[in-house]
Amino acid sequence: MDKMVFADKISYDYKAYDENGELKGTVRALDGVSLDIKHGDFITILGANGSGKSTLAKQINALLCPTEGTIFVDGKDTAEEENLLEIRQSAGMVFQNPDNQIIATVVEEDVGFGPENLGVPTKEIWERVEESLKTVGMYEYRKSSPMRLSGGQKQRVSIAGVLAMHPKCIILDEPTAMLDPQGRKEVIRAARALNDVEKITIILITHYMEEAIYSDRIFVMDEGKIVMQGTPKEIFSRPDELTKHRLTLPMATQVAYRLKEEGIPLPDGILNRKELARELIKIKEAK
Amino acid sequence: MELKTENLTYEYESNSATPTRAVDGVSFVIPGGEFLGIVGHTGSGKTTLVQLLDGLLKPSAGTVYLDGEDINAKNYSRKKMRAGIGIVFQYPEYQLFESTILKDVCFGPKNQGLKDEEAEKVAVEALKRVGIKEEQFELSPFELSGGQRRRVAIAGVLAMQPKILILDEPTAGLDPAGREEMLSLMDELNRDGMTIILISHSMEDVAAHASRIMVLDKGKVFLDGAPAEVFAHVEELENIGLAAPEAYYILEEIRKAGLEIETENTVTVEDAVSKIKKSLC
Amino acid sequence: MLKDITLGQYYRAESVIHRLDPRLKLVGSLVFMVSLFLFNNPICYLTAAVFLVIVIALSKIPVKFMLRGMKGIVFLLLITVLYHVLFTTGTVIVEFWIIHITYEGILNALMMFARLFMLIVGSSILTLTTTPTKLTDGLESLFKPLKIFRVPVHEMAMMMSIALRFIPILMEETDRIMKAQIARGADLGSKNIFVRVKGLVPILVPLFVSAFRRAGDLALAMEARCYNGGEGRTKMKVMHLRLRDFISMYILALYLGAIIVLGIFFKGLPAIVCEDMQCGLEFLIAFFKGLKG
Repeated sequence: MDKMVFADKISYDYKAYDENGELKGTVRALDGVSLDIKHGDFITILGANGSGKSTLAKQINALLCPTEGTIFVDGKDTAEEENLLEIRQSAGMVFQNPDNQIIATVVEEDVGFGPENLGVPTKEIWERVEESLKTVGMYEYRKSSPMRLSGGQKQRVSIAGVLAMHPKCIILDEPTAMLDPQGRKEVIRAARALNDVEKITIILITHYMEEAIYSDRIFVMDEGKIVMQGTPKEIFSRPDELTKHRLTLPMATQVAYRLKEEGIPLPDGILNRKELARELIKIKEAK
Repeated sequence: MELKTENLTYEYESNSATPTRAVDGVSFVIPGGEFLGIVGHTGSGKTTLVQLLDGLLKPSAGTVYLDGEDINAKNYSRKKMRAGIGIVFQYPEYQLFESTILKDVCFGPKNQGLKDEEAEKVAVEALKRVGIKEEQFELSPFELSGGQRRRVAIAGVLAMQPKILILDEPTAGLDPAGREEMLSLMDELNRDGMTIILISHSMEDVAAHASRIMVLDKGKVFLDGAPAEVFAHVEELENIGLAAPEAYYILEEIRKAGLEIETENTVTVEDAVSKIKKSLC
Repeated sequence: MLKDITLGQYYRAESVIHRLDPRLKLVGSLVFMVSLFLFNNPICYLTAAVFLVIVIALSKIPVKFMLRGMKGIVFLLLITVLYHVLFTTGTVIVEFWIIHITYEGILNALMMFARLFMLIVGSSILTLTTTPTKLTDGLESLFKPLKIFRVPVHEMAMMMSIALRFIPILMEETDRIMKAQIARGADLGSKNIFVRVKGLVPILVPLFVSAFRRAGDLALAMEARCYNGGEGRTKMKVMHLRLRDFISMYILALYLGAIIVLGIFFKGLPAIVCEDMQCGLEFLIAFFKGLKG
């Protein structure tokens, strides 16, 4: 099997307990989700708060196991206990809150944490740490305390920490939600570079539309289901559906869409300002 | 209610020998009923500034006047000030502590000295205002979604009936629809006469909602004026690590591609649309 | 503010002391503390002080930075000094009401002050020059033999280092929550003890909730990075004793030896110092009387 992730109708129920600790019922967070992600792809999962996208991310990293259905990561079933470590090594995960995932008090020690757990020999750990920190452009901060870094820098350290485990795939679970615009750019740039240069599969979970436009495929989630999927062009040609799922369009697409409403014959699925400018020039020349 | 600062300065001790100035000689007047956006990148002093405005920090120098009275004066009543200014911190949902939503929102009014029934009355009003339904009032805050919890926290401040409301990044972490709802809530409050001071990283949000924008850099007021005025200084903004709203860059790209188009005063999507239309016709 | 306490705060610098093996620094700190309690003798304190000054100079930590951390214990030092001045029996200098100030008392107070002061400075050098991670690594390594008694040494070390990582974060969080509740009119400065305790609830509840949320997040993040307890783990930073460590060990042994020898040899010194103080004072009094006359 040469699929990075293959999920077949997986569902997941959270258990809800009452004040006395007795089972009150279950909440369905994932509802029959099927996924098919190739090696080397850049995937974005869009969805409103509470749409189930974080729960889905945790399935790929085997932090949660589906209540129904099966999911294979790099050809391995996540339900099998003995696959756990291999799956977590090949599909690394970066979380939302930069403060709650850095374990060590020095940057390089945090990046070394994953390889230490994998039992990598000491000399190789150092090589991996150096290489990973250089890849995300944080090598000069290797001796710093994480407390002194900006949000974007902390997230890049977290990415390096995953990278040092030599994964085939990195899942980024809303890595930019708590960052300022500058930090957001840094993190997205790092993720794209990993995909372009290192050919690592990226699964980016976000609700910033602008971050999705460079991906190979987009999945839109709502109420635990995948409700839309396709290329960015396809997805962002369906503004009404996106609004229904509490999402929106990238800025340039919004402008193009409004212009179309005003009678200017622009094509669907314009994603960035360069495309918009090109199309407008075409229209002007046609006149 | 007018909020005014004169030469406001705040220094704190750091590892270096000289103390760091987080806020450095800031003077401005915010008349009642204004919608002010404060922007600046992380570490520009925004958060320190609003804490000074709310009397949570004592200025190292300078004064904050609320309706002409110095809020740090010895005989000035804190209670009076709290009734004047409300502040919503970043991720305010993490400050909830009571067993039910209603009780939590009553905390502020009760501290102001209201009786139980009266406190409950203003709390109910505030909760309805932020769109929490009556059947949810007796729920524990932890049974709500993150976005709803944030609304409850905002209600907790609104229930104190402030004339001026300061919000620090109230849209952080919300999805696009949630962001829009939060911003329209602010618009509504402003329409009812409340002064809104919104701190935000998003130039687009500030541009579309505020009537005045203040840009902070290194603790100083860098630019101050109507959105169109402030965003006319694109280069200066870029130099301090900020940017104009995306709509401006869209038009700039179109202009560079060879279409004759006026790019000045482009703040919102609608500005961009009308200008593109004009240049095409 | 809590932030002012230097204890437990790493000061980044490139120095010999920073580079020493943490296990050696741990043992060294212990030896130094013991040396302070072996003898109550001025010459021993003087030796210890010289040793300490040399170590501080080598560690490149600014004296100002170190002393800032002492603010919190000034009160404790004062109480100790007062206690010894007031309650030591011996040759009386001044006497009024029930208070007797004696030569022995003054000497004792000075020595106690020196002892406590050096104790705290000495132990803070350990934490100032050693990252918390190295410190826990050192502790883990030193306590490794306890594993045969089924003491979970690795887990305890891990807990300690995580606690150290999150203390500053939780402190910031406390500050934020406090400000948020004050802004909602919470009364934290009340003189009434009941009001004050009640006033803590709006701060403690969110703080605990937040701490648990962070703990949950962190556990997930550790699991996602294949953390599986101490079994099968390798170490990024392996501790080897180097030449500088052996040299330091030698110096440390010399220091301890010197203290013991001096302590035994100058056993009678405290009494002599008291006599000298007495003579000195009498001489001064006579001298001033002579001036007057």
